[in-house]
Amino acid sequence: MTTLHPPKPRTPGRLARLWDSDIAFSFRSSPVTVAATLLALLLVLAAVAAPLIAPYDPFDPASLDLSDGFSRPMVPNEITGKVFWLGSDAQGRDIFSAILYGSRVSLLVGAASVLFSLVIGVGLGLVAGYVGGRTEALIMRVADVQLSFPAILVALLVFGVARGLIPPALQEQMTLLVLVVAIGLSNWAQYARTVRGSTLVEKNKVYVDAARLIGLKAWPVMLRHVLPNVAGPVLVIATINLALAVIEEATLSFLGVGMPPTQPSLGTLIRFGQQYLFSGEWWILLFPSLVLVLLALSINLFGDWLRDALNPKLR
Amino acid sequence: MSKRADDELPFVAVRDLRRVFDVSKPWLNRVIEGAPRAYLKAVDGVSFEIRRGETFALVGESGSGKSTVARMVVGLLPPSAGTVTIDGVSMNDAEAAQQRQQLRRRIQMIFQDPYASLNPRWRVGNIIAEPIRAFGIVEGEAQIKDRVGELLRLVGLHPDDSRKFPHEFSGGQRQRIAIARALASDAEFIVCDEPTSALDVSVQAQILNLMRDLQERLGLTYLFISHNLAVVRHMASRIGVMYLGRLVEVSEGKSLFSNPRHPYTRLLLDAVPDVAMVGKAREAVKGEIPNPIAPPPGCTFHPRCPLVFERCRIENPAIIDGVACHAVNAGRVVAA
Amino acid sequence: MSSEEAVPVVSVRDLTVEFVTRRGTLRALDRVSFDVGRGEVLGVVGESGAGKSVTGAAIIGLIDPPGRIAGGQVLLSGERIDNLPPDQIRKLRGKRIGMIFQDPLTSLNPLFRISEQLIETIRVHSDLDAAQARARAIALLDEVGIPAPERRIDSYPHEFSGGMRQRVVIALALCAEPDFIIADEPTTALDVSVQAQIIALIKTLCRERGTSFMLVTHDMGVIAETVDRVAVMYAGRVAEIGPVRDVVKQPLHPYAQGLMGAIPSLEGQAQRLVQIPGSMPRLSAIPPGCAFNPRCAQAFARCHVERPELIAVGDRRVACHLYDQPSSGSAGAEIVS
Repeated sequence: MTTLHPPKPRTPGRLARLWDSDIAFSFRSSPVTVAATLLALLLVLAAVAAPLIAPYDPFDPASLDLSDGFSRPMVPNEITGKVFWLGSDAQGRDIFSAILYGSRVSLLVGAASVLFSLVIGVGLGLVAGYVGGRTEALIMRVADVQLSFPAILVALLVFGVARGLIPPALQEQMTLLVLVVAIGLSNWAQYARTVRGSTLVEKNKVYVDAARLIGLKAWPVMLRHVLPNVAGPVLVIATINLALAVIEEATLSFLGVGMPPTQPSLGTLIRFGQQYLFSGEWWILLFPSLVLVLLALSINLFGDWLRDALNPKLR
Repeated sequence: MSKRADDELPFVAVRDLRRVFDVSKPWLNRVIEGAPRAYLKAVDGVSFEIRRGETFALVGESGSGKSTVARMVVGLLPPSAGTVTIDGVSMNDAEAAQQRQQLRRRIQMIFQDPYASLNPRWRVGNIIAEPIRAFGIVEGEAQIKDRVGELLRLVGLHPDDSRKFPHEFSGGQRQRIAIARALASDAEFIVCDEPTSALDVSVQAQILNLMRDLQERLGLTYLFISHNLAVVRHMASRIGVMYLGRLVEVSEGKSLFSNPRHPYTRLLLDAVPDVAMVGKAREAVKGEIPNPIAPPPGCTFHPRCPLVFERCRIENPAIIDGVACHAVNAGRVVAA
Repeated sequence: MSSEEAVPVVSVRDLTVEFVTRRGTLRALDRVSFDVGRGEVLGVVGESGAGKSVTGAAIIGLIDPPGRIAGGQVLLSGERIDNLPPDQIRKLRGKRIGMIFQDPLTSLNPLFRISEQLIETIRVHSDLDAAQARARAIALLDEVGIPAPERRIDSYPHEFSGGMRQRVVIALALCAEPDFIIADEPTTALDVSVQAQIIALIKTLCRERGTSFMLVTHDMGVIAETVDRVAVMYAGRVAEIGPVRDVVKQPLHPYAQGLMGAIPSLEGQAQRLVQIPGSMPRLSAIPPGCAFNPRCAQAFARCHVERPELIAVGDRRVACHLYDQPSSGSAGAEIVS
């Protein structure tokens, strides 16, 4: 039997092919997306590399000097003569360094909670869609109930319950974990719904039948065959939810049920800052808020593009 | 796996197979609108046998239940009633679970839509290697790779194609990959559900020729499902004609076309546009397939049948001597 | 073309359609030419990607960007229509050129009764009053073979079966009494027994009304039984065009020969099917010279370099160099089968 292929042209390298692919082209031809992605990357990198970049360590009480307090941005302090790029707060903490460390905490909580809700939501959605019947009905009704509460309310509730369960001595250390669980639990339903929908479509495609024919059990079929094919929409939701989770964490911290002052997130910084808004120290509020807005906006813009690029119907 | 000496025993035996689908509206609608539960008898008492090494075809229009039969035969869909026995092992009997696991390797399926039957996220090499790994046909990665290359060559592709993804292939090439996957577990019995109806004619010819070559070389047994009579005529040694979930005629391939006996088979043969019919006038066929949820009583074909008489409206005819028709069986019609 | 006294209803001259993509310009139709006479059914047959549907869309001005008509002319009863402004060609559509698509549901609005859709269309194209239009709609439904039309006319599309819906679509296409109807795979979504009914209907309409049809399909069986002349398309070009009997029974172009041999038939011996190696080239990789040359067993040097033009061979025209030699004789003219 002869092969049906003409002689193959030299295949370009992996990177060249990636650059030439439709998705890369759609990325390249959207300047807003490119700018947003660069900004998001910059913010994330800065947060990750905070200990290397930050001029001061805002968590080292020894390095804090109360006489540095309320320094204006870019203006040398009247007493110590030190220059703080974005000013300093009441305790003389460098706002720039605090923002770097703060966005680190914010992003950590955001990413971890997205991962948490992703695992729960995708798992439950996959089972609901693949198994069907009563299991599906139960999971989806719970998701409906969850979706009918505002996410922040669910998070507050979880947070309150956790506070009651965890001994006071451990509370400060456990806050981050509790936040991740609280925010994660308030967002899983969306993943579950999306994944269930896609799973219902995919499980009726015959490649799933082909896998069942060789005797694979339900779990391998779900994880190896269905999951990779429902991952696209999940990725989009996860990206947009990362921005939402960061904002949600900021909201909780702003309400005072989030990160403690010893480990401030962007939300905690904003909570501190708003006390000084009317006394003229505007920079303490403005800069953390600005970073929060830019972070959420750039991630969202990237997510929007991703949704359009992965959804062939819109192209 | 020694070949049986007694070829008397059919390789595949399907007995009184039935499948009912619940197509009722949701519970709330039933309560509010007072609508009763609705059932669709997709397959209604189908029996046939397939001999080793032959191609048995089921032909019928949409809604005839032929694909449902195929899915029940391979075990993708549990029957509501009836049995499927393959090489003496029951596909439905709980006691035969152990033997069935071994049997599964020998039964594979080729699907209609080559764009949906291959997982788009998997490389072709992995798609074909999956049955090899699942059944432990070959051990060791290098050996599996060799086997995959061998299979690709067998279906007319190149071993290097194993690195590509399905979307890099045309429809015909994808169907070749699907065939390679079916052969990967050394299957002996392949159920082909409309394997070429999504393909262009020139590609269809390639695939049909390939399937016949492979049958000759490997001694495969096919259950071939199609709505295309010309394709069935080309492929099958024996043919069953289905209408609304029932088998109305079973016949040797040649005689079905030279001497169709059931009035529905005749209607079908009269209706099919054919290249050989260029310029010839033909009589138009009357009527359409009735709603399968509320089929006519008695013989389901009676409202369209030119030979209908009183008994047809009351009693569902059984297959006697290969034909399920009161008129033919009572000798009222002499085969032309 | 021999000189004919009657002007063809539709005349397509060197029609070229291109799609501009970022990877270059794809030529979906490459200098396609044919005529459709009055009361004639022209079949356009080819495999997916051959450009048969694009041809229909180009004639009625339905090529959307990034596609465009890059050259050639479309003449309707001798007048050019390919360069008309969009609002004028929209008026032609339905009025003088009717359309029937594969899926009847795309042509019918599910929210309106059949009567409303038919009467509205009739009144747009004529000055009949509501009652007259209704009577005309009932007459049309009767003509396309819908039983008890005075009762069924007030049904919704979903109350009809697939075959009946396609009949309604044909009635809708007939409302304005167009000279020319483009039917794009009108029987593909239907069961065989219903297919035959629709084919019979199209033939009757041609005979009795003198309407011309262009029947686009991949099904050679439907072509063989329905059309008067057939154009076989390959990679956006016409490979062979001529009376259906000749093309089906004795195809001249090697591609047409392979295509006919590849079709399993209900007559004759069930033998091994003729097999054309490979598949149709993608639009982005059409080979130079004759587009069919890499798959052609009879290709010679000229085929790789020079594109064959349609040349007359008897009643037919074939785009193949085999028939353009001084001593063409019988080269390749034998039938395969």
